[in-house]
Amino acid sequence: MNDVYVVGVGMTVFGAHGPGMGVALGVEAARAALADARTSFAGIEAVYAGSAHPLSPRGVLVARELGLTGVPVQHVSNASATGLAAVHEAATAIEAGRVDTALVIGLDSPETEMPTESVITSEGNLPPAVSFALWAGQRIGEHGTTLGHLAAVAAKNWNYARDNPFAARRAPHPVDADRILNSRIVADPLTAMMCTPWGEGAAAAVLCSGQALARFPEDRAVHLAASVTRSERYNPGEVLQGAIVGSAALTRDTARAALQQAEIGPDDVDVVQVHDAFAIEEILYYELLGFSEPGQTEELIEAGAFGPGSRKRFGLPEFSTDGGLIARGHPGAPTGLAQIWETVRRLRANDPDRIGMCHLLGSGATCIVQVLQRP
Amino acid sequence: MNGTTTLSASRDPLTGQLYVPPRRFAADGSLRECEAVQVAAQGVLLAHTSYGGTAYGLLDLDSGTRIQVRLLGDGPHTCGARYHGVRNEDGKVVFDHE
Repeated sequence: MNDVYVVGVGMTVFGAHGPGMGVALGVEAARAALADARTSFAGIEAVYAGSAHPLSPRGVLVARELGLTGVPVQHVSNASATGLAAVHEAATAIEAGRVDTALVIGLDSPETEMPTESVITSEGNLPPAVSFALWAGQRIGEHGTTLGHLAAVAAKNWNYARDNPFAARRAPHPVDADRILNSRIVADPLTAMMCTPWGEGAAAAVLCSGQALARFPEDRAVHLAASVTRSERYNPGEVLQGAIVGSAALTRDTARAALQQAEIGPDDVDVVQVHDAFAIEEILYYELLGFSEPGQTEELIEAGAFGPGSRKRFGLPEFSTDGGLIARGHPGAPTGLAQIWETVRRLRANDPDRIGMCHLLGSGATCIVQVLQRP
Repeated sequence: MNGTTTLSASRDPLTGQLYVPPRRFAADGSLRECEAVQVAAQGVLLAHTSYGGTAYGLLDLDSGTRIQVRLLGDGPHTCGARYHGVRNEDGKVVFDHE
């Protein structure tokens, strides 16, 4: 099986771009990724394009703008997990030896206005803020989590986003927990600043095989050490907690499998991008991904774990370092590619980060965890 | 409003596992047909919230299944209290204090 490397990443600003911008956004992100890889579309052997919103343009329309080269273009859709799903499919093709290079595009910008929440509720789900407010209420009742813990996580992510030029939410001044708590209540206990703003945008990555690595500058490459995707597994007697992102076991099992595939443990991970569409999610995923145990998580949050300097102070990874879904935004398919973008940025930088993890869930429910490693 | 109602559910005839809302097939992939049953729409409220003027709750049904439900009115709603389902004017099941 061939090794897979990420050799180029690019993205657009996430936010409100308006109808009719989808193809242009996809082209912009793809061009940025190709430029980052120091290559052109002529060097691409396959395109995997993801979109989660039913009214976003198809990826083949983006590929057509980039060049009429005859490459296969596959469309991938897996709700919020779409971006990582597209990476997974491209990686699978490279591992199998069918292609040596692939362009992965995540694009969501509906051609006519239709709020993301409408798409989700049309599938029979409650509004997402409701499901996660109920998760938060349950957690508060069972574990003593407070509004302050939710606000601390959200503030951390808002402050990370201040340094991300592509983030949907860039606060001009540092954000503290009080400001998070004083923002508009969306679904008690969740305030607006604890919830993703959704948004529109595009992000892309160039993947290649180990054999093709010599075609790209040496300092570009980050190894895709693991990519695991799962849907819910039946466990007799298990109580499912809602239609949106499945049971706790889904994230736990997927993360374990990914760490096993990468032949590492949680202690080896330096930085994590997680599905933090609502602040309560990030708190739960600290535990489900294997970085904390129930009973210690809230104390760690109070001490500043999972934020800047967490690795050095606590031996724990930093989470959502580009602002996460809460502040960077969550357009849908681009989100996974934005996670790859941020992880590659961190691993390429001249700092101690060597291993990054990306985690997303897709309504239905699916989970994808990928591990990236600096060679 | 009517009195306490029931919810459509299904039961795996082999394991007895209950599904609310009902599933056609058992979840283990065997394609074993489940039997349609009704379960009492009553249980204990685990968490609640309000969104867009509508109240919602997470409820542990007495049948052992956890579901997300709509709650009647603005509350006050109480975690740990017993709730039961009633049909509203639209014929939909909403939950209120017993």
